[in-house]
Amino acid sequence: MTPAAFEELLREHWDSVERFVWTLSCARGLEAEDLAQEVWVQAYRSIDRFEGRSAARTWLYGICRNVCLAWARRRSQTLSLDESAESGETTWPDGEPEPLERLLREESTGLVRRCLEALPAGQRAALVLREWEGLSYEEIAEALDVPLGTVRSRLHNAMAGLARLMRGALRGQTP
Amino acid sequence: MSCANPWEEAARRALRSAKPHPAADRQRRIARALAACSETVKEPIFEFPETIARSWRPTLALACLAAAMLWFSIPPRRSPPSAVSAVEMPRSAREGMDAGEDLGPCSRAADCGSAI
Repeated sequence: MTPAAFEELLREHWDSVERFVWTLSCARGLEAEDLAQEVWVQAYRSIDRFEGRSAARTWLYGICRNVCLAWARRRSQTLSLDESAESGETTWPDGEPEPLERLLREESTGLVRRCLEALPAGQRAALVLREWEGLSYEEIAEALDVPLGTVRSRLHNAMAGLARLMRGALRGQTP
Repeated sequence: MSCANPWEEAARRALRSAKPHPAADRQRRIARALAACSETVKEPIFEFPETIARSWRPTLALACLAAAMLWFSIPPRRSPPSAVSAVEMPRSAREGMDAGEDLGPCSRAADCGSAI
């Protein structure tokens, strides 16, 4: 693959990769940016091994998953150091709506995000790939390297869990 | 008969509407990632797995050592013996030749080359 073709691939899938990495890792700020960058560096390194049997985005989500898992393993060793660094900053990306609309949207988005982050990582990953990225069950199974039945159960549990968390949050309970 | 949980439907709608969109400095992040990729040296297509490499490394080293020892323990191959040296000469005869001793007349003419 030529550098120009790789750049085209990066630009085409940038938002999806970034969104998935942010959601899966729950990292924020520069840390999230570094993770997304790491996904692309890994993709660039192994592009020759991509045989095209799966869609490029499925392949990229697989890399996202591996990068986030490796990050989580590293992070678990330095959890106490990382907690203070990520406490205040939230850079959930959005557009430029009107101030009031933006305020409401941020509140709603923040609520969804907090509920989403309260889900187990596997459920969260399956849910965002399905609802945000529009992947089929088969593609999710391939990206997350799990059987199809696991995808179904994760999606079912994730949606039930999200509904429960959001209901609790709206009733004043912290998710 | 559908028995969709209304809370789940509401959560699904909220989730879909909360889909994040690119932040303002998207171009900067893309440029940064592209720069990081261009600085990366591609790995070879075939990469020996590190775990296997680790476990096989001592064995491989021993095998190389054994091969080297075997190589040096085998004497160098000799050239094929010539017609003259193929006949083992008695020690006494060799000593006699060295001393310039006259061996006397040939017992057979053919031995002296005078038959022709």
